[in-house]
Amino acid sequence: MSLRDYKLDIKSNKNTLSILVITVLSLMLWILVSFTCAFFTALLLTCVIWNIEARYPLTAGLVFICAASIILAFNQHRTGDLIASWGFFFFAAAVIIALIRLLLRPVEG
Amino acid sequence: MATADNTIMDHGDATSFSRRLDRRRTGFLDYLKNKEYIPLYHAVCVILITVASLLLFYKSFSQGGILMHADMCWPTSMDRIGELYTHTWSPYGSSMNIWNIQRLFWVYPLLTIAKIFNFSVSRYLLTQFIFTWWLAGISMYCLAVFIMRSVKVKKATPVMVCSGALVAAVIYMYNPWCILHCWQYFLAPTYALQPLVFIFVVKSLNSPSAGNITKLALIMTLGSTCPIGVILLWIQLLAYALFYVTINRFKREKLLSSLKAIGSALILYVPLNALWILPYLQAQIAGKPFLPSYSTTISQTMIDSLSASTSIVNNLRLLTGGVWGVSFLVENNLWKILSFTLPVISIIALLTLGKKAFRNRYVLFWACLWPISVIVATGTSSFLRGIYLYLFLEAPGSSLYGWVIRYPDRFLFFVPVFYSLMVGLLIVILLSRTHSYKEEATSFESMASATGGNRLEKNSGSNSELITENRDLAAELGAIKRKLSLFQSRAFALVALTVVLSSLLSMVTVAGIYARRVYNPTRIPTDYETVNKFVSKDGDAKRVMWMPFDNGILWFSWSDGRPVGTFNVYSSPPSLNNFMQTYNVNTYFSWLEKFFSMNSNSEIVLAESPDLAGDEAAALFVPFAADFLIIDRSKMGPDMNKRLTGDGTLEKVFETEHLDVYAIKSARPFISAASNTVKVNSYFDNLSIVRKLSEDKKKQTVFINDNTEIDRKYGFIKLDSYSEIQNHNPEFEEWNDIWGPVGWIPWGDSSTAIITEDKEQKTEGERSIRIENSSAEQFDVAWLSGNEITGREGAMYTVESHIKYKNADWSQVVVEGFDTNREEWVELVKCPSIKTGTSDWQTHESSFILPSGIDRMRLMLAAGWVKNPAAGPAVTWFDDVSISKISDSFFDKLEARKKPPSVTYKKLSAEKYEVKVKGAEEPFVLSLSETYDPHWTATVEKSGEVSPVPLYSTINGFPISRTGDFSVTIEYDSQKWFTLGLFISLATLALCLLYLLLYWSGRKPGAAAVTFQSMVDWASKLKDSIEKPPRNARLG
Repeated sequence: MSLRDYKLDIKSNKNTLSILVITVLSLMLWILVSFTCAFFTALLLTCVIWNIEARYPLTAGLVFICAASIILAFNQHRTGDLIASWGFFFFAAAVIIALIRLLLRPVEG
Repeated sequence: MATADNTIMDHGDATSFSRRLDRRRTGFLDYLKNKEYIPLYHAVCVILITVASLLLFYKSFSQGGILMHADMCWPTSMDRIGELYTHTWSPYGSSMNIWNIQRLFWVYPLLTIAKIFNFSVSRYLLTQFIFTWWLAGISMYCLAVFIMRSVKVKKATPVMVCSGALVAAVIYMYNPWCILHCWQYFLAPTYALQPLVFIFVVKSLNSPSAGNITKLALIMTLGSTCPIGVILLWIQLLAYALFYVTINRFKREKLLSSLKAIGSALILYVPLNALWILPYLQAQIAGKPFLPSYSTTISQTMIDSLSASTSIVNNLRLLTGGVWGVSFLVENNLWKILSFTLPVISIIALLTLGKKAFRNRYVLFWACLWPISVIVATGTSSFLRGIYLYLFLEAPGSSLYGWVIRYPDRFLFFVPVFYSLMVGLLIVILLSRTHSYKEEATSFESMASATGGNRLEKNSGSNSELITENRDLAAELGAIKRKLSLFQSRAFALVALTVVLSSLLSMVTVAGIYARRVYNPTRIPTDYETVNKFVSKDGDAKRVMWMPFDNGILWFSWSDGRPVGTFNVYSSPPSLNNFMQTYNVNTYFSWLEKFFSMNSNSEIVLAESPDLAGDEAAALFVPFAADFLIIDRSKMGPDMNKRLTGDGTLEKVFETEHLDVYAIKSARPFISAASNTVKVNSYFDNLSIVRKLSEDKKKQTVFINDNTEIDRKYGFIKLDSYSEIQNHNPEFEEWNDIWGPVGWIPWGDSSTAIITEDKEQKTEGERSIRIENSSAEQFDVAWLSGNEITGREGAMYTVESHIKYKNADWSQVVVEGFDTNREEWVELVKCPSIKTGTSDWQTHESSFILPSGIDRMRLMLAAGWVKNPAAGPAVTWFDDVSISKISDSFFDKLEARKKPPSVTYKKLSAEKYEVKVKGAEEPFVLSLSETYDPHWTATVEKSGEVSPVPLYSTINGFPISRTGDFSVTIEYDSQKWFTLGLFISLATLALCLLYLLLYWSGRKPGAAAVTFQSMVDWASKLKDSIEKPPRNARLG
C-alpha cells in the first residue's frame, strides 16, 4: 500500500488505537529516555503500522539533510545538528521499512 | 652464399614472426570483441585509479625526504624496518612490539621486493603508501562492478558500469574518513581490503566451498593489521551472515551453510594468524595481558572527550578524527554545504533506484549498515550513551577490549563503501538515461524521415499537397521530439557530470590539506646520521639515551611546523625511551626532564644550594645504562643543557648543529647486580640518597618507586622505616579553641584570613585545617607558620603534605631554612609549588639535603587569594604536613652490605640474554635496563623462573636468591610463542596456497581430494604389492 492509497479514517477503531499506542509510547520514551528516541520510535511505528513505502521517509530525510546543510552554512550549529539528526532518523526508518518489506517478498540479486 | 642464405632465413623468420604477430593481434581483437571490450574498459579504469592514487602524494614527486607525520613514523634504515615485524620486543626505545608483528603478512611481500631492488626507506614508504591507496581503489572498483551487475540497471552498458565503478573507487580512496583515519601502520590495509573481503564473504556464504573459504580466510588475514581492524572485519562477516540468514527467513539450509562458512573461515583464520594469536593467548592465560599504558587511564571522561565531535551530523559527513597539527575544519560556507554531498547523493541514488535498490540484497545490506555505523560511531554523544559506556567500561572483558573501541568514530569504517556504491550507481543510472534518450532521438529522426512519412502518405490518398504538408509536419514533429530527447539526454549527462564534480569537490578540501600537510615528505637533517655514526664508531653497539624524552609526538625546529615521531630513537643504537611511559605524567622520565631543565613550574621545586648541585647526572641516569647522552636542541621542549653542562659526570664529546653528545662517565652496565634495593616515596628521595652515597654504593643501589615490596634478604630497605617526624602537631589534631592549631601561628598580615578546624574535610585523624582567604588582591596570601625545627647540615629530610583548595590562587607549602650568613629565611623546598583553581585532596612528597649555613627550618602554609571573586572566597585545606629526618643508620646499613656479584652477559637476540654470575655471597637483585614488562623472565640455573619487579618504576629487577657462580637466562617470553605461531602460520599459509594452486590449475572439482585419492590408490597398490608374495615364491 502506498501513501496515495492510504486513507486515514480517524473513526476506525484500529487507527484510533494505533494513534493512541504510538502517542503514549512516545510520551513515555520522551520522559524516560530522550526526545530523539521518542521521535524515532514514533516515526518508525507510524511507517510500519500504516505500511508507508520507504521512499517517503527517505524523501523527508533528504529534505531535512539539505536543510541542515544550509542552516550549518549560516553557523547555526545546534539547529543544524538537530535537523540533520532528524533527517538521519527518517533515513534509518526508511531502511528498516525496506528491510521489513524485503522479508515479506522474494529477493533477487 | 652463406650470407644470402642467412638473409633469406632472416627474411623468412621476419615474415613468420609478422604473421604470428598478426594472428595474435587478430586473436586479441576477436577476444576483446567477444568480451564486448570489457577487459579494455577495466584496463583503462585501472590506469585511471593508478593515476588517482598518485595524486595524494604529489609532493613526493617534486621534493625529497621521508613520508612521516606524528606517530606514523619508522626507522630510517631498511634493516631496522624489517626487524620491526619479526620481534616482539624492540630495544630501540625499549618497548613491547606485539602490535607490529600483526602486520607481517601485509608488510613482508613489499619489503622483500624493496630489499631485492635495493629501495631506500623513502622510496619503500612511498611505494607502500601509494600501493595501499591504489589497492583501496581497485578493491572498491571490483565490489562496485560486482554489485552494479546484480542491480541490473536498464540499458546500462559495460562502459557505464565501469564509469560508475571508477567514480566509486575514487570516492572510496578520497572520502574524508579514509583520509582522516587510514594510517599506514594501522587501519589503511584493512580499509583497502574491505570491499574485497565483502566479495569473498558473499561468495563463501552463497557457496561455502573449500576454495571460497580459503580465499576469505587469506584475505581477512592480510587485512588484520591492527586489533580494531580484526574486530571490524569480523563484524562485517558476521553482520552479512546475519543479514543473509534474515532475508532468507532463517531457512535451515541457509542457516547451516552460513554456520559452515563462518566456522570454516574461523578454523582457517586462527592458524593463519597464529603468529599474533598465540602470544596474545599466552599473555591472557598467564594473566599478563598486553595492554597499552593508556588502558589504565580509560575513563568516562576519556570516552566523552573522544566522542565530543562524533555527532550525527559530523558522522554523516565523515568529518571526525584528524591528527595532531592538522586542522581540517574549514570555515567556508560553500564547503560546509558541499560536505553534505556524499550523504545527499546517496539518498538521491536510493530514491532514483527505488525498488531496485531495496530489493537488491547487497545494496540493502550496505544501506542497513550505514545508519547502524553512524549511530554506533556517536559513542557517548547520543542516546546510546549508556550502552556504549557499559560496553566500554563495565561489560565482561571490557578491561581487555575497551581500549580498542575508545575511538567511536572508527565504526564509520563501513560508511564509505555505501557512499561510494551509491554515487557510482547514480552515475550508472544517469548515464543509462542519457543513452536511452539518445537512442530515442535517433528513432525519432528515422520516424520523421521514413516510417512516419509513408504512413501519412497512405492516409492522405492521392492529395499531393496534403501529403507534402503531412510529411513536413511529421518531419517537424520528429525534429522536435528528437531535439527534446537530445536535450533530455544532454541534461542527464550534465547532471551526471555535476554529481561527479560535486562529489570530487566535496572531498578536495580535506584531501588537499592532507596532501600538503601530512603526505608531503620530511627532510631529516644529516645530524642524526652523523651522530649515529659517531656513537657506533668503535663497531660496538653502545647504548644511548635521548633527551628531551620522546612522548610519541614531537615538534622539531626543522620539521616545518609539523609533529614528527620518534624516528631518532628508532634509528639510533638501543635506548630506554618507551613512549608508552613517557606519555604519563608521574614517571621517572618526566621527573628527570623537569629536574634537569630546572623547571620552575614543576609540582615540587627544590631550591638548590651551590654546594649540592651537580655531579649526579650519571647516578640518576643509571636505569638507562647508556654510554652516551644525546641532547636534541632542535626539539621543542625544555632546555636540558642548563644543568647538564656543569655536571662533572658528563663530558661533551661531539656536537652538530642540532645535537650535543655527552659521554656518561662510569655508566652502569645494561645488566648488573645490586646489593641494596631501597623503597622510596618520591624521585627526590633517589636524588638525596645518591647525593649522600659513595661512588661504589651508588652503583650497587637500585630504587623501587612504587608500592612493590620484596623480601629483606635481597637487601630490601624501606626509607620510611628510618624517618622521624621533626615538626610538632603535623596532623593538626592538637587544637586550642583560642589560638587554633598548637605549634602553628598566622604569619604576616593575614587580616583577610579565617583559620578554622574542619572535621568534615580531612585525610586522616579527626580534623584538617581550613584557611579561608577573602582577599582578591594579587599576592595577598594568608600564611600560617609552623614552629622552628633544629636542622643538621648535610642530613637528609623528607617533606610530606596534603592539600585541597577551592577557588584559590597561589596556595602552596614551603619549607624555609634560616641562612645564618645572610641572617634571613630562605626557601628550601616548595612541596607543592603554586596551586591554582579547585582540587580535591592531593599528596605531595619530596626530600632534600640540608645545605651548609642553615641551622633551622620551618614549614610555611600559604592559602592563596581569591581566583574568581564571583565564586566566593578562596579556601585552602591542609592536613598531615610534616618534615622528617632520615636516620644516619639508614646510610650505615646501605654502606654495610656486601658487594654484589660480578655479572657478565651475552646478547643472543633482542629478547634473550645469557648472564654469568660469579661470587654471589648473598641474595641480590639483577637489573635489566629494558622497560619493565611482566613478560621478561629470568631463569636461574637449577633454581627456576623469576618474575621481574619494577625498579625506578621503569626497568626490570629480578630478585635472585641463589649464591655462588651460576648462569641466568633472561628472556622476553612472548618471542618463543611468536616463533611457534609464525611456524604454524607459515605452514598453514603454504597449505592454503598449495590448495589454491591445485584449485586454479584446472583440476577444479576437488583437486585436493582427487590428489589425495590418487595418493591413497597408489599407497594401497604399494601395500598390495608388499603383502603379495613374490611371483617366483607363488609359483614355487
